[in-house]
Amino acid sequence: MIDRKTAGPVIPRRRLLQGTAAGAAVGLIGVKLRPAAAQEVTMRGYGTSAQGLEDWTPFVEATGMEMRYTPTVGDPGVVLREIMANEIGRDYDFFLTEVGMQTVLGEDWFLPLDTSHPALTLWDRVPEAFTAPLRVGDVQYGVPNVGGADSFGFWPDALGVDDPTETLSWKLMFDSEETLGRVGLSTTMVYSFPLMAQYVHNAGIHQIADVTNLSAEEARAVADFGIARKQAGQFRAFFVGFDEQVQLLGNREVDILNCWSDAVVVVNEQQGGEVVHYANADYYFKWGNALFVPIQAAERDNLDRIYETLNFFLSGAYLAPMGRKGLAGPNMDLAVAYAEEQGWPAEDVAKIGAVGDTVARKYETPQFSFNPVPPNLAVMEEEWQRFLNA
Amino acid sequence: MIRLRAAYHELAAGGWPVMLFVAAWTVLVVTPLALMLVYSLFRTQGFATDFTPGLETWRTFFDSGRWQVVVRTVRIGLTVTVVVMAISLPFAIWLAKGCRSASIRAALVTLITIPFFLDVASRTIVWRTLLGSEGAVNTLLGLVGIPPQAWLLYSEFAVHFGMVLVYFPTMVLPIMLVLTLIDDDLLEASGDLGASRWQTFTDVLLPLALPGVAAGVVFTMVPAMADVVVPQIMGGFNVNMLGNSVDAALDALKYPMAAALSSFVIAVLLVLLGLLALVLRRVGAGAALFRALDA
Repeated sequence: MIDRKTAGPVIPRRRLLQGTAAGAAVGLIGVKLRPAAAQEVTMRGYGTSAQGLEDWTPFVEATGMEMRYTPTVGDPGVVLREIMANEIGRDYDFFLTEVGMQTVLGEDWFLPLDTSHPALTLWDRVPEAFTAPLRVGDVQYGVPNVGGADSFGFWPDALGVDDPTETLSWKLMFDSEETLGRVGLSTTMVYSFPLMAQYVHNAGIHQIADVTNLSAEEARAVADFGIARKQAGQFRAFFVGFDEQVQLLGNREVDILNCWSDAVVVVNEQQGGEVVHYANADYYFKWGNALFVPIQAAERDNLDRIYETLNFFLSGAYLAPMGRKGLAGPNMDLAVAYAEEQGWPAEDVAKIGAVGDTVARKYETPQFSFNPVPPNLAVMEEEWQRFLNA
Repeated sequence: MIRLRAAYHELAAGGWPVMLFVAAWTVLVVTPLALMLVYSLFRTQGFATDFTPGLETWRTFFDSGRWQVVVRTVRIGLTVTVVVMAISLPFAIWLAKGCRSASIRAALVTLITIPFFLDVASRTIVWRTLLGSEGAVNTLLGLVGIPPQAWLLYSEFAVHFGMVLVYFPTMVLPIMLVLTLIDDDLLEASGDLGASRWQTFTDVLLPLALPGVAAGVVFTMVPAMADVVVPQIMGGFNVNMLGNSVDAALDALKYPMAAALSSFVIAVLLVLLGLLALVLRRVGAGAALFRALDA
């Protein structure tokens, strides 16, 4: 029996049913609308530490979104492990990593790029030289952000180099009495092993077909050469990350090391050094970085916002700070325009413009393209370990 | 067989808590270790693990010199432990039994504890600027006409030096704590009965301190062997140790190789512990090790 004083007004059965139906309908619409309404306003990126912005305000201003960027070391192995084994695509909206990753990760771990997406307004002005290395067959993966050709950084006074136009050999890094015990070398196999292999090839020590993908016999020959030089005392230290490059050069712990150009910039600007990242070496290591969209993003509803983010990385607002750090991207004219609009100092604007020219000059020199995931990675890694362990 | 049966009866005598612990330990610790050994019998093909059993990973383990990393790691771990022990034991004895001022003792214990609040990298990296080619030490040496000494950094010496500093507290504290539990009357009685100071040390103090020493050895040697930070910062990868090698294997998605490295280390540790047990049994300190705490 119902106590009418406490049970409230009686609702006729028919009205109750009507109300329930209407409520259910509203609920269903709500469920359907909810994902679109709750689109991510924070972009979550995982990538190379040196290519994140120190201040993401220009991104916020351009897109209205926040950025949570998780920096990582440049080692492709770490990125492979995180993407394949730890499946971090569930937690991130984009990866910023090496061009070439798509050859291994493309089909299963990256979404193909929709180059006609309306948010990707700057795509058409990206040069073919930047987009071509990101294709697997006819499928385009990734948006290029920066690229370049690396050599070594060194203290000119220590090596007695007065003429910056003089062509210097990688012999200084690998096989020189002049730099004995004064060389720093990256422990990242896919960076250092091909550089050493190219020297071994050029010096006629062993013929190598593809320095980025060594056969077992070639890898053993290169490791044997490296071990002999290591035992002769050629190398002072081996390093992992960007901060160590800066520290080794800045403290003059080494006279020369295979480093990124932005490490030299930091040493010179923050520590008052006069280090040179050489633009006239006998060969270079051509590389590029790009933003890839994880396959898991297809299951989310923020793909449009991700494309907005990709487009930002092609804009002057992103490329100008990169240029100031000594890195060149696909649209450096936009970078210069942005720097001018923002009233940056003239020397910064000039530097951003010059960066592109420097990279172009390096590209004219014989070089090989970096391969972060060579098919013979397992064999190469074992020989590299033999070199490190010796 | 008889020994196993005796061990089982001894465990069973401990009742259900002991049996529960053994069961949990078997499931949570022993089984994963066994699985790790099994995993080392697989191999890496491209970027994937091939689950066909075989010995290829172990062959590569020896060919690539990774076994040398294990040997080097064990050698450095042992050397560091011995050096830290040689410094820590006299200091702990003085702190527990020789230092009569409670405030000084409290201050010193606090100083020893402070490093635990800082991460190892922060504590260690400062030595790079001090021991580097143009660091403070080499600058001072230069003032007295000695040329820069490269071996001060990025060398085995540097790795040992860094580890001794890092692991000194982990050795001192357990030894000191056990020593403070030893009744001073025992030491006085030993003297009253005509024992020399050396005899009191070897026959009374040291046996009673063995649980602390054993704990100190475990807390020092095991983390030293697994250390990644000090070898990288102080050794500059000139001294490649186990942690770095396992890291490199994992970065190349070579899980079977990482499993082989870890299995080999466990095998070496088991041999070392077996040797330790033999030595303790020979000096009659085997099972008595932990009974000392009952004294």
